[in-house]
Amino acid sequence: MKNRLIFYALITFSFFACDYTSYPQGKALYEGQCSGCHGLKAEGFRELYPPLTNSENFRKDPYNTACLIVNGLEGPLEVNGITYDQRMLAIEGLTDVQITNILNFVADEFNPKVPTPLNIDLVNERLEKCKNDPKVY
Amino acid sequence: MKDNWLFIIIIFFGIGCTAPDQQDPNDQTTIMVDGKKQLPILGERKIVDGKTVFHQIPDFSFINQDSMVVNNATFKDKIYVVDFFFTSCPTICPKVKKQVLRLYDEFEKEPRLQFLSHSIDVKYDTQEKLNSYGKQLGISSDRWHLVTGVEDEIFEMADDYFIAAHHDSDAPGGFDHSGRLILVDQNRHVRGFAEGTEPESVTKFMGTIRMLLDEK
Ligand code: HEC
Repeated sequence: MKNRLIFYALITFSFFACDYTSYPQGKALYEGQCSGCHGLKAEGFRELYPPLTNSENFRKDPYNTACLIVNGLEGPLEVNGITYDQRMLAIEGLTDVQITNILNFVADEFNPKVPTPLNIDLVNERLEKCKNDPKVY
Repeated sequence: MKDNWLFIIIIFFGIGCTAPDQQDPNDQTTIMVDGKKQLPILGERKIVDGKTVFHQIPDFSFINQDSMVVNNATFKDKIYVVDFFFTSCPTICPKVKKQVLRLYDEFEKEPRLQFLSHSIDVKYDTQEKLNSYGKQLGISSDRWHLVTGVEDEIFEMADDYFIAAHHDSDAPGGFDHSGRLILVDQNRHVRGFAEGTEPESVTKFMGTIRMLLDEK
């Protein structure tokens, strides 16, 4: 009984002790490719870049973000009552695996309402759709 | 004959003694002048008519986010901080802008300090685009100018500020440029710099700016 308590305590502790994330590659890619604009904690920056934390659009359709990443996004976009209007450039050279990992990290870390893991087949299905028509989101 | 040699040696020494040191644009170590610490004047030096002529920012004329002309006269009796960016830049610019914003807030009550950000993406960053960028960043053109102009002239100015900036299709967003911030005094001399991507470097830079403000 006592041993078991210690065991659980240790497990819980180790979760807090290390910088725990289930999606280390997604985290690294997010920090390298997205955090410059959206912020390390996805808090956004002034009215230039929207936060990605508890994003309504992301919750409604997380797979859409795969298309945003490969096609970029431009034009007025309202998030939490603020109209953003800068350009997010398309990010080139990411594989479907990498994109899926980014989506999962963004979901897991900043959008707890979105059930993870997001599925790579659905990511590919969506990428196929928006590949030829960047307007389809 | 012997005298001739002596003469040449004397001339040689003479030049050696009066030619001023060049100041490496990457070295901003303070110097002592009359027992007081001072910021160096960065860049090349020449002797003209027996006087030292320092590297000076040439004439320029650009348009800012409120469609006003920004030129050397804009910064008369002022000092200013310079950077180069573009609005859709994904990697270094947002970091640099956050740091310039720190300076903008820190020196809020110092009307003698101005900011000048050049867009190097003249095609996309129109005056309207810069206007919305300035608004969304929450800054005023009273103190912080976001300018556009003739592309070649902007790239040439980058050289004069010792900042690397050029087209590069391999770089994110199509431009390769450094995130350096440059400090210019009221005589158009470059007096210091910071790495705009590094918060600690910018904290030090605040001291550099104060030193220049205190100069007279
Ligand atoms: C150049 C800065 C920049 C970078 C880098 C960037 N974004 Fe964006 N992002 C933006 C801007 C600006 C918008 C809003 C675009 C608009 O107004 O149309 C945006 C919008 C979004 C949205 C839509 C938010 C919503 O609530 O609808 C998502 C999701 C997103 N970005 C995810 C990402 C991810 C993931 C990455 C990294 C792979 C990334 N962004 C990299 C600037 C950036």
